[in-house]
Amino acid sequence: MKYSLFPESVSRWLSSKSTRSNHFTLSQKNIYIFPSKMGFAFVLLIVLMLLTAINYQNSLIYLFLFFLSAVFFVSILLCFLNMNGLTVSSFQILTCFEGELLTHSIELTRLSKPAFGLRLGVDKCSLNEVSVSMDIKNVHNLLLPADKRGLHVLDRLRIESCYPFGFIIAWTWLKLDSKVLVFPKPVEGSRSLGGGGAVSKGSARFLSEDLTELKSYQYGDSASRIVWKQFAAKDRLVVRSHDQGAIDSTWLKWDLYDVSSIEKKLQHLCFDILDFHRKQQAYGLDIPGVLIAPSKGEQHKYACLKALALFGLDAEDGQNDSV
Amino acid sequence: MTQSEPLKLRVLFFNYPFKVLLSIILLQLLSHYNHSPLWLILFTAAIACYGFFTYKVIGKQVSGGVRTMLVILSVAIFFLYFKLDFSVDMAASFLVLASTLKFIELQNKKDVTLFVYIMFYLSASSFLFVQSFVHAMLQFILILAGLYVLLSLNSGQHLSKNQAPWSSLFKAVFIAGPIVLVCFLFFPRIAPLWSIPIKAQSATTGMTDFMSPGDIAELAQSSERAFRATFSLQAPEKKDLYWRGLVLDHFDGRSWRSSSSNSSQQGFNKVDLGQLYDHGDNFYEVMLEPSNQSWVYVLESSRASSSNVLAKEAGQFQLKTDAIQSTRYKMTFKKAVSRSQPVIPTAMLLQGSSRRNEKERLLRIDLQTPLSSNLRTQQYIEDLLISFPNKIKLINHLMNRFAEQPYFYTLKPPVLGADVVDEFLFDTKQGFCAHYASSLAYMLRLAKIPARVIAGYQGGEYNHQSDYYIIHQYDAHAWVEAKLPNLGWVRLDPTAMVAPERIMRGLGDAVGELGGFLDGSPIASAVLRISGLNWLRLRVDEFNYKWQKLVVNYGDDEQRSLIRKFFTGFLPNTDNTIRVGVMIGGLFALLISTILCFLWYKRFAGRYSSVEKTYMLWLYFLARLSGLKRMTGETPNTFLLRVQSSNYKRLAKVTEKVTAKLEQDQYQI
Repeated sequence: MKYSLFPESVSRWLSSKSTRSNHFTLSQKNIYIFPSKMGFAFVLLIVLMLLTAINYQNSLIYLFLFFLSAVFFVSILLCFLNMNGLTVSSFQILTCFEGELLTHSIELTRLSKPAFGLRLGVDKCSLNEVSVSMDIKNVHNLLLPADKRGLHVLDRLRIESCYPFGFIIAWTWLKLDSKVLVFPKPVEGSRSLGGGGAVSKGSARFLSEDLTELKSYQYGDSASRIVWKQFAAKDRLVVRSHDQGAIDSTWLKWDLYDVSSIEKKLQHLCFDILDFHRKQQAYGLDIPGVLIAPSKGEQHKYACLKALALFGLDAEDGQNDSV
Repeated sequence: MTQSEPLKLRVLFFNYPFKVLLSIILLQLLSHYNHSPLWLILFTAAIACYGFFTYKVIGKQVSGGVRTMLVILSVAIFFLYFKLDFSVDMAASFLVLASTLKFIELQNKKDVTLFVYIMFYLSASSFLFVQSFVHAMLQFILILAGLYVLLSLNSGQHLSKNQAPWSSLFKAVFIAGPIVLVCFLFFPRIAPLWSIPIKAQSATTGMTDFMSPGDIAELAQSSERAFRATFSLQAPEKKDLYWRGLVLDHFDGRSWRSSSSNSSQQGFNKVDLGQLYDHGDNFYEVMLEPSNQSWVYVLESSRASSSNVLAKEAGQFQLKTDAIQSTRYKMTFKKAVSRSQPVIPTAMLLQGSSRRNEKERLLRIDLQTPLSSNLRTQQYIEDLLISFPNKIKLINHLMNRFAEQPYFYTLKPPVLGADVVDEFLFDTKQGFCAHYASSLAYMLRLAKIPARVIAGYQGGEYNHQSDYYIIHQYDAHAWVEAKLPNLGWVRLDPTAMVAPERIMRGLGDAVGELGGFLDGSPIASAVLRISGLNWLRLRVDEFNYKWQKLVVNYGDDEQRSLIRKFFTGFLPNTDNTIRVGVMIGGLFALLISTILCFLWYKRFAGRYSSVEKTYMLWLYFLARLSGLKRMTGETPNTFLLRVQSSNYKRLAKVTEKVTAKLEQDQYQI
């Protein structure tokens, strides 16, 4: 932010009005173009040359200064064309843990020709160099520190380029809908066994049987879950809504840990979820507002971690500050 | 900034195209060789190579201590050498030095960019000294190299693998071409904003405003070009090509000098601007080589037709500014007034107009003689005046004396003592044109005939291929003008009496085997003798002349006449300023619309395939021809049915074809 020019603030204001989307095509509607600092220095050089040419009445200096200024003007066009038609999109929602670096995966593509010397980032100070080759998906991973759990939405993406000669800078601010789910940092905590939190295998089975609900069969439900007794009695297909396989399951409860801070609790829960997952044990999550029945597998882990990440936050409108 | 910043910089640093940068600076140094001292060129080249070595081998710039030492050392030597007397040479040399010192401290992208900018300015400033085509090409390549460096700085790290940035450089140059041409032709040339000390230090060979016997013989050693001249109509005969330069009208017994050099500013006649560009058909154009002087060389009986030349007393002309670079001016012949020629050998009546102060000037200056020296000549003229009371007869006698007595034309005359005219006329009788002109003018003045010595050039080499004359330094000549009663000024050339071949064919023939001609430059004299090389020399000269005429000397006058030519028949009665405005406005509009069309095309081209474009183009024509328009939402096939059902059967056939193509393209059938 060393120097802020008028068009810079205009572009920021205009982009703040635009709608969030996960797919942008750069065009004259969202590309801003202005001479760069070095461009102004170049203009100064040209003025100096003009003074020399006038004072010495030198035709060849005129010729060269016209050449350089023509190159300057042409570079406006080339700079624009270098970014024009570039599509910027983001579809994947990646995840990471608090304290790590989160990754926004941004796809840059253009069919007609490559783009050079692009710099990409969330603010003007930290930009990464990217070049886009023709015809293939160029995935650029934008790394940012993840210092808060929750759904991290990319605030604004800046893409800029001084491409041909550095005289002109073209830039764009995109409200790219790129999201990263930041889970709490996994920290090992001591579970207070006597506190009624930890549950034995037996009671888990009991609980799980108790909780079993029946619902009518829908296409796609596993055949193993059909309650055949009911089918015989009532001539109707009914399935158990809870997986009966989760015999060796544990409930991870809110009050399990001996700490008062919510974040600490979430961190310990996160650690235990990962721990159980690694040991291939079934587990359920029971925190205020969320109840996830015991299960195993990647999807289950993801659901649990997501619940932890979003605990107490509004999923859509929550944490969207960029750093 | 974070810890990783220096590391990142270092990584980028190695990617800078140092080889290109080094080549740029070395070539730039080379191209400044003729006005910068040799030590400076070698010193800076060594510094640049040292800097390059540390960048490439050690991987960083020269250490701070060494840099400071080099700066102090070089600046100290520089000021010891140049001693603070400001000149353009000194400024350019200082720029060369400073840019080299910048080269060894490049640290980041900004430094490299600024270095390239300095190189650009150095390129431009080199044109103050050299303007040849070859030099311009070299500088153009250096500018391209500079742009390449900027390109590689700004196109990311994939430059080496990908060749595309090169194409972008060529694209830029290609699009820039027409813009440069238009700007060059029509950008208004403004008069200098402030005066600047432009005296270049380097001495050039050429005329001086001071002529001792034997002075002009030195110029005979030089085959350098003094100027070139093109005639609009038939050129005068070679024997009549007397290029008047300086009027030397003060004689001190040994040498002649110009008395008007101090009071030159007062003698100016305002050039009538309305008449200026309205020259007659019979004119000639002179392209003067840089001489660092304001003198111009013109044929007798001509007047100035370009704005950079001013008329001076005694039929002399002067440039408004010194010719530090090649300068072009145009002169028109005055209409000849038919008057009888005097019957004196070599005499030619001048079509000069007598000015008001001419009479006073004649008495004061053109009859001035030092009486204390050359007593034998004084006595000789006194005796002659008794036997020849008629002035014409007296002149005739004096001229014929050079032909009849054993006078000898040579480039290597014997050294003369105190009374140069006496010794030359009566003892040695060997001399070059300066001896003859000097003694004749002195004798005429003693005989109370106003006379002056003219220093200039005589003759010239004719380039047959493109019809122009090259006047070399060895064509330098001196002759006499005398004012005869009732006739006016008359040109007299005593050299023509002694060595007529000098006037008819040139110095090389006149001196012949006796030597002395171009002894100082054996290469030039060899080139003149070998016919193949001579042919080549003339072709090269022709090309350079064209380059100078069309590009180097394209200035205000040329621009005005071009615009005038362009607007004849179009806006005939408008002011030139308005014309230029219309011109620039029109060109600007053209440029903008071209860019807009280009952008529109780009947008269009990216979105649709060629078949789609053809289809849409056809739809446009169809709408214009028949009024049938495709509705929004109407498929090409339904539209085709509608067209077929209309009255336009022929158009329907074409539409059918185009639609079939489109269908094929869209569904890959």
